[in-house]
Amino acid sequence: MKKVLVVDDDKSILEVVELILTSKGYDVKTYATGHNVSNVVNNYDPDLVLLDINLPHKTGIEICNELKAISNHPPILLFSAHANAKQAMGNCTAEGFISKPFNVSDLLNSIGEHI
Amino acid sequence: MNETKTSEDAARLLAIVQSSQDAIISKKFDGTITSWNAAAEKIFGYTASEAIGQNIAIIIPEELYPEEREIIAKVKGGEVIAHYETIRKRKNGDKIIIALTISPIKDAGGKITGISKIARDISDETEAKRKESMLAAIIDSSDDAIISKTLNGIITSWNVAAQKMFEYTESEAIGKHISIIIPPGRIAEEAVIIENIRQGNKIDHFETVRVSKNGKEINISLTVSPIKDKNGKIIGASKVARDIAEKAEAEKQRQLFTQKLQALNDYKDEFIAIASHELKTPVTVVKANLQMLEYKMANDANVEFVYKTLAQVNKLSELINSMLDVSKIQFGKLHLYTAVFELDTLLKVIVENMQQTTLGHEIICKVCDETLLANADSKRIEQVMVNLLTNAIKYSPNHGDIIVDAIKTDGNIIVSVKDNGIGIPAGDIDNIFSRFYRVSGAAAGFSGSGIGLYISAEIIKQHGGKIWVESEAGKGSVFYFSIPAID
Repeated sequence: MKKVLVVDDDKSILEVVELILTSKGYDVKTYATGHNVSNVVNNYDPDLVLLDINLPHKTGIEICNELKAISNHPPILLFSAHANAKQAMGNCTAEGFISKPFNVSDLLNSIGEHI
Repeated sequence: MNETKTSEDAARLLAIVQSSQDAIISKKFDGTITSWNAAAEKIFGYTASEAIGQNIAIIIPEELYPEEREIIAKVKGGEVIAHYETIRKRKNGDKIIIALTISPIKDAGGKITGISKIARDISDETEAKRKESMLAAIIDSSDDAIISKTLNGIITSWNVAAQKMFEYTESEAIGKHISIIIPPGRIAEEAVIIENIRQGNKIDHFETVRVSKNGKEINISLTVSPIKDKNGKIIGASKVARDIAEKAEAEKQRQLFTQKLQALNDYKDEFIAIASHELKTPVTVVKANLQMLEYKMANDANVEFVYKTLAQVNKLSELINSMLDVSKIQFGKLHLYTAVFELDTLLKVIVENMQQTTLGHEIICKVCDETLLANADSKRIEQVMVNLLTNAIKYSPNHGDIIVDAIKTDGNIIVSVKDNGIGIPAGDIDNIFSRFYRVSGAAAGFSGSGIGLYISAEIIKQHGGKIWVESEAGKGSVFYFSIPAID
């Protein structure tokens, strides 16, 4: 079972993404803060990380760069309310970008592509 | 006392009486006039022969009869009434102000036999006094500080308003140098003012600052005029100082309001930005849940309701994006991410996609096979095209073809979208690209926020291009935009 870690500070987003992904057979772990995401990744060892950009304390971009430092790091998809992917991603080298509000099919396709 | 001496005395007295500037009159207790000198003739207008034998009432205004009776009663008692100011009536009816001195006339035995009246016409004197006191009253009731000073700057008069404004009493100020109310930094002004006054010039509405006894700075408008003596020689200056604190305050208030308004406008833009962004999260959750519901209800007839709800959520989502674009434009943060791409291909793809969701209209793409390279933000150009095509469809309720074309000319690519819809009234064309502008008339029946064309215009403007429309009410519209081409 493929494992997806979802990081977002909004619980309702976490709930619905978990619902979508578990219905498609993924194992999902949700995480609601930007603190110690590296630890969670090391412990949970996901096949993909879905990471919100606008997190309190630490931005998704910063976390993304931290995760990139982990050897054999999983692919990262950034999640943001920004309409423009390039603008939102800045200098971050995430594997992909999903803008909110998303289409469920686009989300699943994007995850399928990178996992 | 010999008789000669007595008649000499009498003659001298008569001469004095006749030459007196004051009216000297004698009368009996019943009021009958017994003597009337030359001055009396002049003051009251009756000759001696006219007056003598008449009752004194001829020179007393009717309303003063009781006063006269009182005076007579007092004199009968031996009293002398001196410098009593009252009013008398001339032969021609004019009223005059006189100062009366009334004494009893006694015979050799000391018995009071009559009354002597000396009357001085003080009308002129009173008039001058009246004028003076009126002027003084005007000066004292003025809200402007009125000050006079010598050419050496020594204060010579100081009205009530000056006391209030500058907090020095009249006695504190008079005799002092005018510099007591001039702030140290403005002492030089005084020399200039005095120099002007010496030359006979008036200084009008000079706005400056003066200082009160307690150190309070006062914004004033100063008018300074020369004071001349009877010979026209300039001997001093009169200063009228008006407190313009209110004016200065009003100006300050205006600036404050402008700042507040600016701040409010900024808050508004910020609010739109934050609110739109915050709206995205619930819309995302609603949309995702609805889509999950849509999958689960795929074989349920009720899925129709989910479709309809989803369509509205998508509209809401577009609206939020538009609001965000507007606020980006307001903050100057609508950044373009440009790259070279084939505009002709993009246009064909957009038309194809739009046609899939449009049943009533045929969208004809006349873009030929020539490659049209543009260095632009393809996402934003797509946004403009979708906006123009959506409008073309929306405002052509009776269907008809929509024609998309693109030509290369003079280093630009000009894209056009033509419809056969309701058109735009001439009066609205100039405003159609303004923020939140909605066309009146036939278009009023169509819902919309009035921001689509505004955003499109801003996007094209940022590309260094132009956007315009040719339209006639009832005959359809052609929207054009140009962006720089690449060879």
